[in-house]
Amino acid sequence: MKKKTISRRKFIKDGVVALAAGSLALAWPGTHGAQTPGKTRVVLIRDQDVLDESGVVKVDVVQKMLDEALRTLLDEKETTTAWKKIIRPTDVVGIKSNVWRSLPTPPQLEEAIRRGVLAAGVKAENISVRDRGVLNDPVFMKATALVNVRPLRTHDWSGLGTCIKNYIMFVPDPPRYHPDSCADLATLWQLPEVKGKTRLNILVMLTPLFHSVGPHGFNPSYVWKYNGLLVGLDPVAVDATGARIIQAKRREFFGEDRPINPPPKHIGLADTRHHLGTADPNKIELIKLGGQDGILI
Amino acid sequence: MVKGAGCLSILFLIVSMMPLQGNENDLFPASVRGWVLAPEAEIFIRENLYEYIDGAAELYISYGFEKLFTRLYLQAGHPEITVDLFDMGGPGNAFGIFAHSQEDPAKEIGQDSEYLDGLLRFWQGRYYVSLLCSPETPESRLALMALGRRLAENMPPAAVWPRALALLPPTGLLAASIRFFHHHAWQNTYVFLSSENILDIGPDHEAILAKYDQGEQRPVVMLVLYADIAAAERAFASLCSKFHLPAKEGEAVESADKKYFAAALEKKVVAAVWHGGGAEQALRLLAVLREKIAAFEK
Repeated sequence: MKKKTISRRKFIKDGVVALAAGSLALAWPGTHGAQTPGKTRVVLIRDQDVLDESGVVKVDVVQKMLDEALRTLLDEKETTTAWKKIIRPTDVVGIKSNVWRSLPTPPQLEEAIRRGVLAAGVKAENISVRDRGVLNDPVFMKATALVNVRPLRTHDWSGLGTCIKNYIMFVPDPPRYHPDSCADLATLWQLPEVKGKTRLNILVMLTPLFHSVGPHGFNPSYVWKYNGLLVGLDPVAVDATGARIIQAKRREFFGEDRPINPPPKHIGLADTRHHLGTADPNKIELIKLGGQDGILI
Repeated sequence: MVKGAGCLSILFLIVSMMPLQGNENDLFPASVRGWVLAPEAEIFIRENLYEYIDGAAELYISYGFEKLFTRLYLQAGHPEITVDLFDMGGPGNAFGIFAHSQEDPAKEIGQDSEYLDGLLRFWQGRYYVSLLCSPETPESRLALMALGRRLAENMPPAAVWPRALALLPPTGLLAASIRFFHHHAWQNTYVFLSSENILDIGPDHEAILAKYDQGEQRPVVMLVLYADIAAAERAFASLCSKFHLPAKEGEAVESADKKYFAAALEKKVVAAVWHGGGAEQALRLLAVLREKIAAFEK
């Protein structure tokens, strides 16, 4: 019986994102700008004490996590200096959050970000935290800087709700971006309200949703306390790293390979087709801070 | 454009305000275990389902969704129960959307049902039903099960399961792994096939995925049934090209993830197997599938 081997390059020869079952290899040709030579830095920080017994986020712990992640990301010793590296006092800052009712961005994290922006010298009236309604928000409409923050979760059509996808609220007709499992979400980042303004991406990994069921998607059986934040300047790198963690969690939970369904092709295509950032783990410098137990990556 | 948008808005308004017609109105019991049916009803169609469940709407549309009837049940001091009754247009679609996320189904309510942490789902005939009460309490769990039973009793009787499922050999079949669909978005559920619709899976074709228990291995089987043999031949040629399957039958290909892939065209059905146990095992399972297909077509 003849056997043939298909090389990895051939298997993904046309450069389309292939989220291979069993291994998260978002393989793609092409490169994109890196924070450090050759690599894009992403910081993963975890703290097992970030949630109290009721699952509520502890303000001081999440602040500490954000501060340390940002300092590490930007190679700074002082938190305020780190914020000033990405935010100017004259900036008008929109903090683009996410209010999905079952897993919203924790208000404690929103406030921690806001404090950082204030520390950078921005006036309070020039800061807004919004999700839906950004197109009617006067701060967002004149924003010079954006901070992008949302929890990572599975999504029935795009595969994952990601940093890339979080800007869907900048369009009045989001279903327009649904074709082909939301393949071209990265084009949102070319919108005039968004283009070139994002100073920081934060993918909230405190209690990610790793599997969706039912019309409302969320079920407590499919979240777990990962207690983490993924922070980076490159949204594609941040999302690709988060996707690897979700993939690993699914493998662990189901006891076998269970690919994210559908595959979050928009992440790889954000790299190969739209050149928004890099999804290649070989080109991502992942710095892990905090607890390593159950890190899955 | 503005005029057209205005007409559409009026349509949505009319549909959403329509009293539930005919059978759907009668399906909902007035009360169950202290939870009382709220008078407001919402109806959603394809064009506005997004307003209710955002991007998840595309999932239901991909399974042939036609209409959603949403009702609430309320009881003071208890979380509300949300009942989403999906008219999926036919039993195949209703089964398909139910099976899409089944993990541990039972035959307890309707034709198949599954309960998980405050969420009860079941299907019967053309309807797929979701009953949600969160956070779960002992009382709410009992109420969900009782309400589900009452709904199923009120609904039109059970329909036959999709006939194509009979193509799956029963030995070792992991029934909870079955997926039944008409949209290529779901072809990568177990094994990555392609980002493109290389098998031309669409509304006229039925696709099935399933896993088998063969000791240490869990091979994946895929079947796609085409309306005509020309379509089946084109799809098979596309599959062979993608996976570099030789034209000669009886060969398996090893992929980068160390699984062996084998495929065949039998009448109007493309059959494929991914097996981690070796080429011989992949081909053996494929042979069993081909026997079932040949007998089925007769």
